[in-house]
Amino acid sequence: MRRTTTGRDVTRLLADFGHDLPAAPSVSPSVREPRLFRNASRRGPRHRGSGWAASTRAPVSVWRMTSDQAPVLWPFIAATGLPPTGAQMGIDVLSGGSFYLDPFGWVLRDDVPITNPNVICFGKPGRGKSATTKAFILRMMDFGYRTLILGDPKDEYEPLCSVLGVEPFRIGPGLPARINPLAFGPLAQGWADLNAGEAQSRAAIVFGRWLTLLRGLVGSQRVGDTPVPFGPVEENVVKAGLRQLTGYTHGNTHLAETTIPELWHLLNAPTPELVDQCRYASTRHFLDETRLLRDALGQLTSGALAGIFDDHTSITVDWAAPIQSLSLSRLELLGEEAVGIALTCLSSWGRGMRELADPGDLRIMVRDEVWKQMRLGAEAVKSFDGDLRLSRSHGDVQWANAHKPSDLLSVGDASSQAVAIAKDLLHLADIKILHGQDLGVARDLEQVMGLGPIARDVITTWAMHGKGRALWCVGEQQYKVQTVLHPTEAALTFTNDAIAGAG
Amino acid sequence: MAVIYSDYSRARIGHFFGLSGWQLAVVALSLMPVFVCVNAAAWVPAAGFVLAWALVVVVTVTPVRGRSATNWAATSVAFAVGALAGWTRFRSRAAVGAAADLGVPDLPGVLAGVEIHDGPPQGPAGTRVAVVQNHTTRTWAVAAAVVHPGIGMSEADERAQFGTGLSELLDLASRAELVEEILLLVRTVPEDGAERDQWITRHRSPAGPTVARVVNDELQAALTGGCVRTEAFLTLVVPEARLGKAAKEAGGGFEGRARVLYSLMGECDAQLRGAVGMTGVEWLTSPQLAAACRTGFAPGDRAGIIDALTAHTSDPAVNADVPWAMAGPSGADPAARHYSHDAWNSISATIKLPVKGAAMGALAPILTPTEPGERRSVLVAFPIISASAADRQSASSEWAADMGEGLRTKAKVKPRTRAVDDAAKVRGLDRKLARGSSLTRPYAVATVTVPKTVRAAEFGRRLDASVRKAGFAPLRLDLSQDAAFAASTIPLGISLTRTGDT
Repeated sequence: MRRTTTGRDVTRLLADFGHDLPAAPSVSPSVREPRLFRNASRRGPRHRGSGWAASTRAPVSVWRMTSDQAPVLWPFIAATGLPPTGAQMGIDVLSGGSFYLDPFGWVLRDDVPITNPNVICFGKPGRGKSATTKAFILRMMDFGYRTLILGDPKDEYEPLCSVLGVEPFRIGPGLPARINPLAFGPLAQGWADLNAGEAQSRAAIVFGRWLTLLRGLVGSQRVGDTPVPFGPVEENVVKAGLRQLTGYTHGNTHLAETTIPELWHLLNAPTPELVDQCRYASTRHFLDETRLLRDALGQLTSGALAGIFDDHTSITVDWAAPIQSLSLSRLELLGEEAVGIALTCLSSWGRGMRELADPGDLRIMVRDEVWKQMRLGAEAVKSFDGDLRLSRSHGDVQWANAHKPSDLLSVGDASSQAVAIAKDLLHLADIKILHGQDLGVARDLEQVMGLGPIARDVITTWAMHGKGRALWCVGEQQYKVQTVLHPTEAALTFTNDAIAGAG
Repeated sequence: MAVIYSDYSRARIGHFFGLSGWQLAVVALSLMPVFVCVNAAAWVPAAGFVLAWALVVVVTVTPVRGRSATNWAATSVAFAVGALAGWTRFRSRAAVGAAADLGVPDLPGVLAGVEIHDGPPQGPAGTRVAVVQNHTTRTWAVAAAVVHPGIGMSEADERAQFGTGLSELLDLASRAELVEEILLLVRTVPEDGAERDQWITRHRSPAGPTVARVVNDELQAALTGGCVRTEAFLTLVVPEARLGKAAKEAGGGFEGRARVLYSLMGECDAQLRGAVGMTGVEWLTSPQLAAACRTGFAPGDRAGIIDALTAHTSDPAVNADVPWAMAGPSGADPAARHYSHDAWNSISATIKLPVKGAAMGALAPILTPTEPGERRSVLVAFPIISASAADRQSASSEWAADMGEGLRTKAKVKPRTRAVDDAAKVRGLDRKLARGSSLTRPYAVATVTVPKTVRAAEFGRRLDASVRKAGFAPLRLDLSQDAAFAASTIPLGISLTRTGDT
């Protein structure tokens, strides 16, 4: 029977009222993915010149094991090596690769885990410490680095200076060279044109450096076994004295350079203004309260510092020369303390000279026999600590040579603040070179630096069996490195002249 | 105290009493005449056929230097025929002036089925990782250049930590059930000083003292020739059979496959940088992979590539890419005992693990060249067996061990120490699998590459000596030197044991 349409269907009804129902979606025919693979022979095509493989299944020895045994086939044995930048120092004997040292280059790279360019080199005498140092500074000169030897107690760097056509400055009693550790350095240039903010920040740097130096020098003097105190009171007196002597207190347009003896004289005959500024009731009160400080400064002025660091600088340093060295061998007769004080003064002076260094003026600051400076006490350690902290901003590689870690730790009792700072010093040098040591010292190193037994054995055995062998710690990474010397360097670094005849 | 890893056994490649399918067929068929004679009560001919059968069994089954005698014969014939017909020689299309499309790889033998795709851009730099499609094995692969600090100065606990990291990487791959093989490839390459030359050119100060310049130049000349550089690669191989389904969910087609591969790379990357201790993992783009491939065949070409790359940074007009059509050798000639490619000869050997076990890092001597100019490569392949296949294998091994033990007890044969140890290993394997470890069937291949100006055989002997010095035993991969070289030196994910059953 034929059905007749009796009315509108729902779709039509809704459409009449303005609501269009969506049409049924059209189902697109499913499309097969195109074939991604083609048929190909495992042996490769079989025609002339195609390199067809006669056998694809090589008879390899296959083993069955659970994943926990997989390390038996561990292939990553040698370190990939550091980038080939900086000075080519020798051979990394574990990987067979060339070993390069580039402190600033490493700081700038993300793939070498170091954040400061300082180097501390430990080693028994005769293990190749100074040869490594000289090789590094000579090789880096080729890349625009200059070197400043801040104190050469044994005149070891003289031959190197001679080859480079530079005459070292000889410092010692009776010699004409004077160095003023309270020199302004480049920071005083254009003082008159500085705005207030800039002048204040420069003054903070200069006075901060001088205070660190004077704290170190005064702290090296002793009453019995106790170092002369240099607390906030003494610091205030010295700071006020220095500001008055330089004219900073009076807002002078040009600051006057002063010296340690001038400071001592001022404190011995204080002006009423100084007494007032330091909040003493009277001159008598001032003199009574600062007696120890004045006597300590007096000892320095008339003792170890006399005739060397007690006047304005008389040498003119050619900063464009590849190397400059300050020879201290004449101080040996005055004892280790004098050498230590001289090293502290030169450190401060050197730091002052490097303030406001031009960008790209890269310099290696060598501090030989740094342990002599450390022995002056906690304040001297702090002074050295300050130098290391500033290396990155000044563009300096601070290179310190010492015999053993206990040189740094002998500044105080085991749990003292000085020892804590000295330990921190090790962390301020991300690059450590550990030449051969006796077992006892190596154990110290293991403890202080957190080395493991393998590293300790490298130091006590492998490194002891050859000159120039050392364990190099670059951040957390360790490398067994044999320094290789060029014949020219070998001649320059020979330090056994005194006993050469015995051979 | 260093951990000694010794809990492994020879993988039985065959499925039937240790025999492969064709071996079983030969053994079974050669037994048929015996049965026929016995059925006919012809005892004398039966005895003769038994002797003949025994001979066939020995020839078919007994392995001699890794292959059965039959296999040796068949492969030798194939090799001779291939050589006479000129099939085994390789002359690149570029070398004969017939390279039409420079982007198409032109590689010899087992590498011929490889196609390189640029993956979709990823990361902030929009890097397009190279995806290697192998048409012959129906697999996909991605390769990374990795940097590891090495374990030369690591203490025992740190080594153990790295080792555990590797185990976890395999477990991770096993759980995801996508990655079938992880290949670790390390090449110890003679230093060419290319980067150093570039750095010196950029940094040398004209005002520097002459003596410093002379010292640097002479030292570089003296040191560079004798030094080596380490290159390491990791390749993940995923078969289409496993990837296809996951890829469909990710959009299908090549893009879908690349997306799944990228996610695997991400998982693997985290593990590598974490527990495995890698300090650098860089997934290779197509030009980087082409350079790795070319320097694999011709180590001497690296200096030129580095120079071009450096020149390209200052002058974009300089073409620093190695076209895929020239990433292989321009000519290669496989010989029975070595592989000759461009100006170099290579010899490969596989490494047999010692029964007494070995410590982590024992491969060190194998990676150390004995003379300047020599290159060593080591491939360590970890084919990962799927959980179900591992369970099946473990169950059948345990059944076989129980059976053997039962038979010996019945026959009152005193079990030998080795048999007892093997049975204990089988049961230990089952225990470890039950507790979450994955099963792997690793193998290692070492290759030495030397210029044609020196005797390759001598360096092959030195490679064997290094393998022995490391405490392992070498087995030359003769007649398969070309395939072994491709697997152990070129990071394109070539497997030497892939059967498709894992």
